[in-house]
Amino acid sequence: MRSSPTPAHSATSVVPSGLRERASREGRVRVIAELRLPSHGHVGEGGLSRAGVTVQRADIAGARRHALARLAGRHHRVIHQFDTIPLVALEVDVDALAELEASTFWIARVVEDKLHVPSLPDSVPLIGGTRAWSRGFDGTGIVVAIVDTGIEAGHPFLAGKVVEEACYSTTTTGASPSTTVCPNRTDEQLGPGAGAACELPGCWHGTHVAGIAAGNGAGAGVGFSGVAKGAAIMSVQVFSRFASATDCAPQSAPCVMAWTSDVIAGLERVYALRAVRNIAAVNMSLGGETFTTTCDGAAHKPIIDNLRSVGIATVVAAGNNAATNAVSSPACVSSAVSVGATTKTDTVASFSNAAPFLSLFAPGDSIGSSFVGGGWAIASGTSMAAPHVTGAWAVLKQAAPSATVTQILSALQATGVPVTDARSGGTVTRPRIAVDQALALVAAAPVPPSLSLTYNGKVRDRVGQDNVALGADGVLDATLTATLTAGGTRTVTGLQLRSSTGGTWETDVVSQHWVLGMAATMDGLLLNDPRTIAVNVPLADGASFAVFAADYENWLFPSGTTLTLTATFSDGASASATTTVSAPPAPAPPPPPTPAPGTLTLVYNGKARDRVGQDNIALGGDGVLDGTLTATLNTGGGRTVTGLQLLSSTGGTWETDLVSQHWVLGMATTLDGPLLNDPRTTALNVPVADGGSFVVFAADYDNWLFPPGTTLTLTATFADGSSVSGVATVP
Amino acid sequence: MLSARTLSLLAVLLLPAVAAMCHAAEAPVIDPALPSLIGEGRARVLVDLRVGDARGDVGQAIAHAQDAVVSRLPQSHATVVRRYASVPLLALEIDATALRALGAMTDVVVRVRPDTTTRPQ
Repeated sequence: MRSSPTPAHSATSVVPSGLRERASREGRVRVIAELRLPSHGHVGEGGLSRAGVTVQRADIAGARRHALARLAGRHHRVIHQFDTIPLVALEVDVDALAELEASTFWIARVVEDKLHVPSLPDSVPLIGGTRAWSRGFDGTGIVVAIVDTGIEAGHPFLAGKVVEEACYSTTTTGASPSTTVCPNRTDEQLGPGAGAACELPGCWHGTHVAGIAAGNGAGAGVGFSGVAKGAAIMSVQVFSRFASATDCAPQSAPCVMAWTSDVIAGLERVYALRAVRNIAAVNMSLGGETFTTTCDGAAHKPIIDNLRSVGIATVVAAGNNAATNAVSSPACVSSAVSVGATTKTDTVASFSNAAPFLSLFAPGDSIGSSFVGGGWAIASGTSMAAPHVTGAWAVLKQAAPSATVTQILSALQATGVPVTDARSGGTVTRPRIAVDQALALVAAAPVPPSLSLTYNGKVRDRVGQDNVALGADGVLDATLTATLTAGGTRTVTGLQLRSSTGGTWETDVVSQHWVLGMAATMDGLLLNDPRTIAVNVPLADGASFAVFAADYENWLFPSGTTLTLTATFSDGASASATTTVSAPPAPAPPPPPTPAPGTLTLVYNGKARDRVGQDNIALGGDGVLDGTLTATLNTGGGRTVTGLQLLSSTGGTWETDLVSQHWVLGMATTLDGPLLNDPRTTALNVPVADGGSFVVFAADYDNWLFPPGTTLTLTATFADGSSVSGVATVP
Repeated sequence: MLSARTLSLLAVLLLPAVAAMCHAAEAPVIDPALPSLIGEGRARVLVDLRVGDARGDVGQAIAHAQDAVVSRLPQSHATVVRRYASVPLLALEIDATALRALGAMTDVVVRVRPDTTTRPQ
C-alpha cells in the first residue's frame, strides 16, 4: 500500500470548529490527525532513495510517538497508524481533541475521519464499470478470490459476499521467524472465519482491496460500489506476523508479510475449488523482488499456469518501486496478469512499476474503499489497481462464461485506453482497462459453430465420379443433410466428407478428392462453383443443407460406414459431425387397398348417338354413331368423377385425360344432355349422387369398333383417389 | 560364501550401471544464497520436484516424489512446512545437513531455493 486516509480540505485552524462542536455534542469523534514532520514535509516514497524512505518513516514514527504522548491521560483510542504517511486515525473526546489542537509542534491539522472524497465513484466510471452495469453485467454469479491479509466480512460494503474462506499462515523459527495469524493459530484453516482480516498494522489491506473488486454500496448506504458489485468473494489470508525489525524494514515491526509457500498454498486452494465455485480471477495485491524480464522460474508459475488452464486469471499488482522497466514478483510471471497503477487523469502513477511486459494499467491512485472497523479509507498503490482488473474480469466472465484467460486479456488489451509512461525514463505504452469496451468485444464473441449430420441414403444422383463432375453419372449419390448451429450467420467456404471405408470427397478441386456437391435442399440447385467446385455459402444459425457424394460402382457406402463431414467457415473456424450409414430401410408395405367406393353398373346402349369424334379432342359429332353406355354408381354417398377410361377387348382405349393421347370419352347426364367434359382438356369434375347415372360416348372408327361380344370396361376415378369399374358386353 | 575380493569385484562391475541409474538426471540446482541464509540454523526453502512424465495421476506422482524426499531427509534436520497436490513443490524448513541431503537427491529434486516473502503493494 502507498497511503491511507487523506484529508480532503485544508483548514485555517488545526481543528475545524464544526468538529469541535460535534465532539462536544456527541462526546467522542473519529478524527485523522496530520503529523508535522520535524525536518520537512512528506514526500512520496517513489521520489526518495531507500535511505530517504527509512529516514522519513522514522520521522513519521517519531512524530506519532510524540503526538500520542501528549494524549496520555486523556480519553482516546488509536484506530490506525500508518508507516508511510504522516497520519494517525484516532477516536477522541473533547479534552483529547483540545490537546491535539494545542500540540501544534507535532500536529499540523485534525480532520474528521470520514470519506470526504469517495474515489470509487470516480475510478469505476472511468474504466466503464457503470456502463457495464447498465448492460446487465456486474459480476453476479461470479466469485473473485482475494489472496491477501484477510477480509472483514461484516463490513457493510462486503456484507453477504464472502462465500469461501481459507488461511495459510505459518509459524517458523528459523531465519526470518514468523507467527501464524490464522484465527485458529495453526498453519492452515478452512471454512467460515478462516479468511478474516488479521489484526496487525497493514491488515486493513485485504478489506480495502476486496471492496474495490466487489464491494456493493447498496447495503452500505453509500452511492458507489466496487467494479463487480454483484460478485461474491473468496477470502484467502496468506500473511504471517513478522516481529524482526530487520525482516520488516523499511516497515516498522511487527509487520505482515507472506511466504511464497503460503501464497502458493492459497492459490492451490482456489484451484481445488474450481469445480465448486464459479471463480473468474484471483487477486494478488502483493509483491517482492523486481524483475526487468518475465520471471518464469518463479515458484508461483506452475500454480498460476494450473489456474489459467482452467480459465481462472491470476491478477497481480506490478509493485510500487516506481520502476519504469521492471515489475515485482510474482506479477512478472508471464502467465499472470500484471497490473500497474494510473491516476484518474490516465497518467502512470508516480509509484507504479511498469515494463514492456506489463499486462494492463488500472486506476490505483487515491482509491477510496472499505476499511477495517466498518470504515472507509483512501489508499494508493498497484494493490488498488489490481482489484479494478479483477472486478472487470468478473464482469466479463459473466458476459462470456466460456471465455479463456487469453481471450479476456486480449479483449481488455485491445479495447483499453493507451497510457504512455511519461515519467523520467518511462517508455512503455500499455492499455488502461475499459471494461465496457471489452464487454462489447467478448459478448459478441461468436459461438463456436457445430454441425449435426443425417445420412439420407442413396436417394439422388447429383454429382459424378470425377472430381469436377457436377452432374449425374447414373449412380445414386450418398446424400446427407447437415444442420449448422453457430449463434449467427456463418459462411461455409469448404466441405470435406471422409468415409471409414477410405474415401474422401471435398469441395477443393486442388486436392484431387472426389467432388462433394452442396445444395440448400435435396433438389435445389448445386451451390458449388461450376468451374472450381468451391463453395462460399452463407448459412443462418439453424440452417440445413444437403451434400451429395458420388458413389463408385455403387459400393462405397455399405451399412455401418462412418461418415464425417467437416465444414470450414470464412472466419477460419470449422465444425465436424459424424453419422453412420444405416441399412436400407425395408420396402414400405403396400398401401392398404382403397376401400371400394361401391359399384359401377354399366349397360351398353348400342350405337345410339354421335356426340364425339375420333380424335382425342373431338368433342363433337363425326358422322359415325358412338358406342353409348349408361353407368350407374352405388357408392354409399356422392362422389365427384374426375376421370373416365373405357377399355375395349378389341384393343381400343378412350379416356378423359388428354395427355394420354387416348381417344376422347364424352360424358353427359343423359343421352341428349350437354357434354360435361372441359371443352379444352376433355377433363371431368362432375359430382354424381349415390345411385346416380350418367351416359358415356365413345367414338367409333369406321363403324367397326363395337362388334357383338366386345367386352367394355369403364373405370371411373374419383376426387378422393379411389376408383371403381364396371363391365358391359356388346350384345 | 562370497569373499571380500569377490564383493569388491562385483562392486567395480556394478558401480557404473548403478551410477548410470542414479545419475540419469542432472544434479539439483541449489540456490547459492541458501548456505549463508541457513548458516548454523534453519531456513525455509521451496523444493522443485522431479515427477517425470506423469501422464496418469499427476497428484499421485507429486505425492510419491514428496514422500521420496521426506523419507530420505535426515530426521531432526528438516520440517515439512507445506505439501501441494497440484504442483511439484515441497516447502521445508531445513538446516545445512538437510540441504546437503537434498543436493544428493538427483532423482527427485530439481532445485532448492529460498522461500521468499512478499508484502502488500
